[in-house]
Amino acid sequence: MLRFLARRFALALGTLFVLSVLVHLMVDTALDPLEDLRLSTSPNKATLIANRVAMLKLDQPWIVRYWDWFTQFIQGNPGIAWKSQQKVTDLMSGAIQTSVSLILMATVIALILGVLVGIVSALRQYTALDYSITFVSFVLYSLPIFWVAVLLKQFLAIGLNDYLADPEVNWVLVGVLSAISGLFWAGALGGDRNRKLLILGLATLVSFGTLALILTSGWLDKPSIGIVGIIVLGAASAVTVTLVFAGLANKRALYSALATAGLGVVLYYPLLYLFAFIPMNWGWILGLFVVAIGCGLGIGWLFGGSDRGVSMRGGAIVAIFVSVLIFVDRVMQVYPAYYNSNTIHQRPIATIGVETPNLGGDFWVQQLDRFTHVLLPTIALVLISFASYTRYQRGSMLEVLSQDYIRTARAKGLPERVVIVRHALRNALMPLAAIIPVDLVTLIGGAVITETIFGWSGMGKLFIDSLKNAEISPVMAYVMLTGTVAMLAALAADFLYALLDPRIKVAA
Amino acid sequence: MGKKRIISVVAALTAGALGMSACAAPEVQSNLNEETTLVAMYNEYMYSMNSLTSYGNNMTNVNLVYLTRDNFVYYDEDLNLQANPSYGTYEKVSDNPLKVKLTYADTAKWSDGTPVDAADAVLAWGSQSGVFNNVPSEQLADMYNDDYTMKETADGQVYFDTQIYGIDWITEFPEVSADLKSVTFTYSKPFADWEAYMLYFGMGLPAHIVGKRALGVEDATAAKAAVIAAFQNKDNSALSKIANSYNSDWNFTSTPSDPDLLVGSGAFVITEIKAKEYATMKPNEKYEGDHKAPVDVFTLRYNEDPMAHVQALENKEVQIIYPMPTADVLSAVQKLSDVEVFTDPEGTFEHVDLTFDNGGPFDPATYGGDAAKALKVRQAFLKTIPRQTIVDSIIEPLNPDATVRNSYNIVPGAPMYDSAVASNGMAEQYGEVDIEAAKSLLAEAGVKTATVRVLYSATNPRRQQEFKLIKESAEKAGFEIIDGGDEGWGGALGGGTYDASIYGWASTTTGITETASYYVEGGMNNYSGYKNSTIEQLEDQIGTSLDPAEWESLNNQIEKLLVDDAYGLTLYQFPGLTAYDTSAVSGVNPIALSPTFLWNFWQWEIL
Repeated sequence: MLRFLARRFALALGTLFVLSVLVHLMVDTALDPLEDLRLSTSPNKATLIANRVAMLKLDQPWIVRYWDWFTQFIQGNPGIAWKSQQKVTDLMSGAIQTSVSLILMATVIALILGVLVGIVSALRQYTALDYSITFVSFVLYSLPIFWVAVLLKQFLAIGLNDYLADPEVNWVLVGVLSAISGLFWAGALGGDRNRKLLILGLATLVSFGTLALILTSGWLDKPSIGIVGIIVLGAASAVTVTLVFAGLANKRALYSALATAGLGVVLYYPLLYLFAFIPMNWGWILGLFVVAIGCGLGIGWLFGGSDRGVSMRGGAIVAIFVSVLIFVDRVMQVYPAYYNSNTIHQRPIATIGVETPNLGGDFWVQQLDRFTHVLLPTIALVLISFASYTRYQRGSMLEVLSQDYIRTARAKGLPERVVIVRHALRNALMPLAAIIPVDLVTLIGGAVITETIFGWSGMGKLFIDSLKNAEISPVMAYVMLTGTVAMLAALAADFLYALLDPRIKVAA
Repeated sequence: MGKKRIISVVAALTAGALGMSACAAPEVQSNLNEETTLVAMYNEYMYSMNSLTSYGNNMTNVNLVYLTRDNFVYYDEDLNLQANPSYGTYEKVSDNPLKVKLTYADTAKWSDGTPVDAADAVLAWGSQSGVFNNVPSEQLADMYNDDYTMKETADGQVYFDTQIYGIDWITEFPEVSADLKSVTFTYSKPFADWEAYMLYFGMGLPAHIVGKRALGVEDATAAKAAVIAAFQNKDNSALSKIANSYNSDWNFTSTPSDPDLLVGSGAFVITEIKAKEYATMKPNEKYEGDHKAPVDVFTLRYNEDPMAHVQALENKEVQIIYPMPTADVLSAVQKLSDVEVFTDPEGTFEHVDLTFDNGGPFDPATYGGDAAKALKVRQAFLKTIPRQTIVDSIIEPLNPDATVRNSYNIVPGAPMYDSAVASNGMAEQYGEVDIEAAKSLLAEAGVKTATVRVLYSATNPRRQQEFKLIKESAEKAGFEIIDGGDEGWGGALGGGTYDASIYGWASTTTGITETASYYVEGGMNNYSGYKNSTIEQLEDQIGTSLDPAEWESLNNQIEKLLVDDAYGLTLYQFPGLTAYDTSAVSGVNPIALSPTFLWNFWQWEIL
């Protein structure tokens, strides 16, 4: 084990060193730090050029520049971006935050959606639904992101804002969306022809009703979930979570899930008062979140009985769900003020930036503002990365479903839910363990095009800007950082795999 | 737990919840700002509030400096220099030697209440003139650490990273009045552009903050005195510290930790800078000048994607945009309602240069020193350049009013342009493509085939297109054109590997001395190897002439000589693109020179 680790680390260091030499040489050759001065009409151009040549040691061989960079770097000083005279460490710390906050959300959403849709697609293999999902995911996969971004801005930001200013419901569109939703549920839930038709009709009607209610009741002007919404959604989540993870026959699990939802409902008003009297920050919110999960676990433990783990897990999941509902509800309450504020001009969905400059406002306003800014880039990233997760998950699920032990499980009479959730899904999730750590590299590496179009100055933007400015230090720091993360991620993936699959051993 | 108990717990919880729902929710407070706001978008982010150093010198920094530091002069919409007496006045005290007296108005104040005065002028002069720099250029390399930061120069080593042409002709310490209200500078020789270069005095840093940061003098008056004394006594130890502060303290991309660094004398003070995203400004409460802030909060946002500008404007997130112009962006922005679009030209112009000293077709040496022969070949080549076609096909889609630029030195629209065009003969001789004339010129020269290597930026689509048009036309007259498109074209300039080149020059002021370096032997920008002793004399004359009436005739003579020598041709002014939301603001009216659309911010009206 130690030998394995030592070998991997030595290998990683060697690779990083070679990487640094190659990238430094290539970047050094490609960049022209004097470009802007060559066209200068300044009468003291000679001095400027001499000055820059001296500063960047352009009159010396490449190896001297590399050596200077290398010795600085291994002493923990990644240098400064010479043009803007900013420390690389300062540049990076802000950029990493921006990139992570943009991409983490998108990755999580894409992962959850991709896995769910992939499973549905695999379970309904070779049906119209499966073909449709395959078609849509390939279409999304092949979309160029700069184009998606511009379309999203046009329709979801400018179009939606125009609609909010002058709401006139397009009933045809509502009808089409409802029908698509109906078709999806009919395909996903399956069954014989009559059952499908029934689901189709019901799901279409429910979707249509919900959309119509949202669009005509003025909910969009003053959105909220409210105590009623939390009761209904909390109970629904309790039932769904129990249905998937424990089965409705497990009364203890059901009751603990319901009780957790109930506790959330009871705490709704006290929490609103807490939020009103104490200025919130993320420390508070995360603390409350942890307390909520603790409550969920505790309730599950109390109801527990012989199968405590299942009830506790259900309670915790419901607690997370209800907490998020209450949080979202509170954010929604500042929406009317936000919408009518002087800086927003009644156009809430933003096309650029991370936040509205000089908005003011409390914690909740800032969360809403972040949401209106992160919405479009997140959708753009999700649309594109979701497709690959769907394909991975579908493939691995199908492979698992054809295994002998699945047939055995079905043969011994286990309910289909247990076969799918416990026997198939767990094993089908394993390939993701290899993919997710590697995706973390993009988390640090940023998304160049998305960041540029939406005006987020994250890591991708930093990299491109530094190249444009012919600043080699931040480029090298970026390459070294992503290189290191990639190596660590590969290592982590190996370990994770060994942890999940007893057939695989980490060995030298 | 029994089933009954479980049910009763659930029931109790539900009942409790329903009971709670009778409660009233607390009232929602939001603390949103309710000031009037205006947002403009620029395509490059700010990185320094000292736009005079070699690395802070960028239009995006100049913009912020313009908004936050008042000045003696500014350019109006006709590119005439206008005085701003609410900041200060300047007058020429004597012609020979040239003496200029600056007098600061009582209304000129820094945003911390300290008056703007002679100490600031002394610092501006001391830092821009290079007079105090004592680090020889061969030692420049020792000024930097290996990570490119500037070394804290050893005591006595002074290096200000700025040098402004003309200001370096002021070598003597100025006469400073006792109350610091006025200061008189003496130029060692007459300087034609002294008035335009008054701009650089207002762009300088606050002397009392430099004194505080560099010399540790807290009191503003004492700090000013310390700065003046350092320059007056050539106290290299103090100057070294001042130079270090000057070179690096004002370089930041986000709000600096020391609020002193944001002290300004202009209508606005910066309140927050978010790296690469935006800078917000509020009116300077201490500002008493004429150029008042038109809005409670002004924000400059930064984004380089031109379509993002257009969509942000359409979504009313920003009210003024300044994207990189392309035909697509222009047509997109023209489709918006309530938006006024300007496609006026900018300060940069495109031109074709010929090489005189590389043994190529345009070099007299090729013909055994027969200058007349080489001249005919040059004239023949220039006659084939389809200038109007280039403008029609490349620039007109971006600016319907685009015209061919017919003057080497004067920006179209500037006061002397028409006179230059009327007298230099470029329009008459090269206004239209004349293949027949080109053929007969070549025949007269006795040259059968001339091979011309053309250098241009291989990555610039506009120049690729220009090259194609020129090639097509020149080949008709019998020239053989070789594609010298190069990604590293900037480095190839002046290397003699090409016979003709296509690129742009940027003008930053209307100063008459700016273009001398293109034509004078050994001039910094003379990549053509061009020599003409008459032009050199004229350039000398114009550079030291203090009579603007004289400039016009001198410049006309220079341009005439350039046309007669077939030096090269100017093509067009780069198109600009500014658009603003007419439902939110009025009065926006960009000019060709920096700070383009910001020049008249005090005339804007928020609707």
